[in-house]
Amino acid sequence: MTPEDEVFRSDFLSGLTDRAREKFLSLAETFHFRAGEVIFRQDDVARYLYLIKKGDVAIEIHIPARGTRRIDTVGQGEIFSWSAVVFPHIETATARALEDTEVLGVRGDALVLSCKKDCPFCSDIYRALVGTVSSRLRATRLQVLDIYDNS
Amino acid sequence: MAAAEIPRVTASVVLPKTALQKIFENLQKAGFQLVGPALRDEAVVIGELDTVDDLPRGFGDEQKPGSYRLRQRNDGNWFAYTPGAHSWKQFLLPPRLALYSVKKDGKTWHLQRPKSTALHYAFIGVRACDLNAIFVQDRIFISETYRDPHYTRQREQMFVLAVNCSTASSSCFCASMKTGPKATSGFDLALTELPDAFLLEVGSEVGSEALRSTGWQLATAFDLGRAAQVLQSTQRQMQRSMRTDDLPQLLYRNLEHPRWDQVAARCLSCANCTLVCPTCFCTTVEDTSDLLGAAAGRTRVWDSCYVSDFSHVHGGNQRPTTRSRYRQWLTHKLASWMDQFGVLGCVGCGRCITWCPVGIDLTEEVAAIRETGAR
Amino acid sequence: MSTTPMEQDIHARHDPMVPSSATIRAIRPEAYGISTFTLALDDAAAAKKYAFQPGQFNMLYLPGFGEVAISMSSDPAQPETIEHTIRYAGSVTRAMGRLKPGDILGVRGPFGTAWPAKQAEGKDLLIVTGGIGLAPLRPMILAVLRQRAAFGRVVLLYGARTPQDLLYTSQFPEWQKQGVEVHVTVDRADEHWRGQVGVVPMLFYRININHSKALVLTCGPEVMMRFVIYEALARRVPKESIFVSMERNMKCGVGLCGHCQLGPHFICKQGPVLNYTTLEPFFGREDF
Repeated sequence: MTPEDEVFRSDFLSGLTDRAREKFLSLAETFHFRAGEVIFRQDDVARYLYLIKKGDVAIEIHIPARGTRRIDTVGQGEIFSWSAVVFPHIETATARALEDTEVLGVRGDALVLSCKKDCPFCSDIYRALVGTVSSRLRATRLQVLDIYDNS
Repeated sequence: MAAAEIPRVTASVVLPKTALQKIFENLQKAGFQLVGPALRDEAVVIGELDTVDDLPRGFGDEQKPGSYRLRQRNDGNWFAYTPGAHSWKQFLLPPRLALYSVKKDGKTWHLQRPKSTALHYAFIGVRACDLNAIFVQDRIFISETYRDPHYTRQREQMFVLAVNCSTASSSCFCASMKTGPKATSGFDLALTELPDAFLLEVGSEVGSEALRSTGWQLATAFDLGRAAQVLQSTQRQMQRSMRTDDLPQLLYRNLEHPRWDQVAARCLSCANCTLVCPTCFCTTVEDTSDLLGAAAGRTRVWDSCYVSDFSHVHGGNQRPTTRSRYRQWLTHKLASWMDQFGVLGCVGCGRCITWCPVGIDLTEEVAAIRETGAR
Repeated sequence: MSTTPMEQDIHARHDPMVPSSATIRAIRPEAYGISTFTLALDDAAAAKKYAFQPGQFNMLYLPGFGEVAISMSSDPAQPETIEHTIRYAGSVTRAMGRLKPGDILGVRGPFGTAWPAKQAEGKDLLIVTGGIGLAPLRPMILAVLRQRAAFGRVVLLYGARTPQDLLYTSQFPEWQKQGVEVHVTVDRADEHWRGQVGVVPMLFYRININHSKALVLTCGPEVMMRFVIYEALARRVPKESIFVSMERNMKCGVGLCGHCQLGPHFICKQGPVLNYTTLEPFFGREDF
């Protein structure tokens, strides 16, 4: 782990023990995406779990004949594409970089393998993932309530 | 020994060019309405022919992406031009065809089907690419599951005088599509123009009958050699080609290739390519009604996948962008068509290249996708 | 593996581009903007010959206005009358909404492929649908109930946007009596709704399925079907056990106008019911 890995703020990473963080980052590759570039499309095989180092990513779902709807945005320090570690490993939405974006990508299969061999690491990672998914679910529930609707 | 009055089928004969007029007369006497190349609006179109004087003799053309120019030639050739914007599908799949009309009388309906408008056409001057286009449409409209009544009847009643091209325009690429320049089957007569005569291959008994009293003579080996040379020369003139061995998979594997964005930035979605393409077959129906709602009609009309609401479902259009519609057209023509009908939809006539206002060349588009695309 | 095309029926009758007249026997409102039309073909011989399989559709014609492709929603064992559940959405259907019993519509059909019949025998049928998507599946449910013993479990996972948008709810108790497990949900409850709330794919969490015995039949908005397929695959249902009913713009119904194509498939001929293995390369692809 190098000092530059610490430069960006991330609730996911800071929620891990030092050991788990170091191991997670050692599995990561760095990817760059230009503004507007598609990171993955809905129904693609989900290979990588991504953590945003710098930039902004839109999560979109395409509705035939109605267009593409942006349903979420994720920014620095946030995780997306946890389908990489959830069977059947299919992306359920499209991810598109909104600005020039740098992400860390961890191969789902590599992460699962590491988890199988290292229980404490595994429990750390999955606890952090559950925390992320839970917070997104909270947000989605609130979105669904459509609280600004008058009816 | 009495000479045969008409040659046998599969024979090749030669006759003076002026004898084509006698062939015209024989066909007219047999009840055929002649249609073929004519001049209109400074272009070669397909129109009604009365005598050989109606043919654009001595004309040629210059075609390039987005450009068509008629040229005067000084060599006395009768057929030294290539297809213009018109194709034979306007007869087999008419731009407008009345399907039926309905008269309501109280609670009952009276449905009336119109009389057939199919005529006994003699198609004069069908190029090999266009002949293959007709074969392609045969697979669509005369199939095991449905025979289009108009198409079927029109097809049964028509005469084909094919012409083997003696020149290729720069848009042509029939050689690489294996649809020309020689017509190999499906014609009643196939004509190759020699400097001083026409060589005609007899493809059917009706074709043979049309040669009665034309002063034909059996072609010699020398004549056949000259005809073969004409076709070899035409083949050599072709400047464009399309590699087809990796179709349809090449396009199926590259549905998100960046080239689609690039061509979409140029394409106007004007539908010219679908109008001039001899195999494009999409149609829609128009409903009409009188003010009282007592009489209604349905007409089948040409349509195009470039029209924005072609893919309309409730809520919107399935293909809302030019990119999606261009991709649909090209992947249908060169990929899904193969799965649907067992052949590619393109016959290499080059019309879409010539008549595209911005000069999009599908051979170039496919090559660009192949160069950087997934294998 | 493939559903049976009813293409041979097309030639059993006259030109399939020409409609036969049918009289509206009844119009029953089902939900806001949705009614079920009961039709009977006027020509006695045509009425006798007419037969359809669950999943197929007719082209319904209103002179002067046009045609719409609507799936049959009635019992295929009683083809003397044919039901179509119609949502008033476009100009033709809205004009149909002004008709009354005794009025006449044109009928062409049946067209298209059917829900798997032979393949479904002995299997657990998982019918997962939303909104008006239940209409093309109702004939399948009724056909299955006629031979209930030939099938394993029959599970209906159904939902709509609000309780007012649910179809056929009065028939559910009878279906349950005949051995259909019914689970209903709405996206948005009103103050009276005491049932489940959530999207239809989430109903998968309420049941256990035997993935080697299950057949999934789904119809509804494409986005919903994508997530239904996801949930089925997540439970290890093989792709070839998933059947989808697709919808596209149709002008002819016989594979000639070109409008309904999805890749190489004419939805009116190779569909509307397609096996997911056939559909997969093109399904969900943006703007394709």
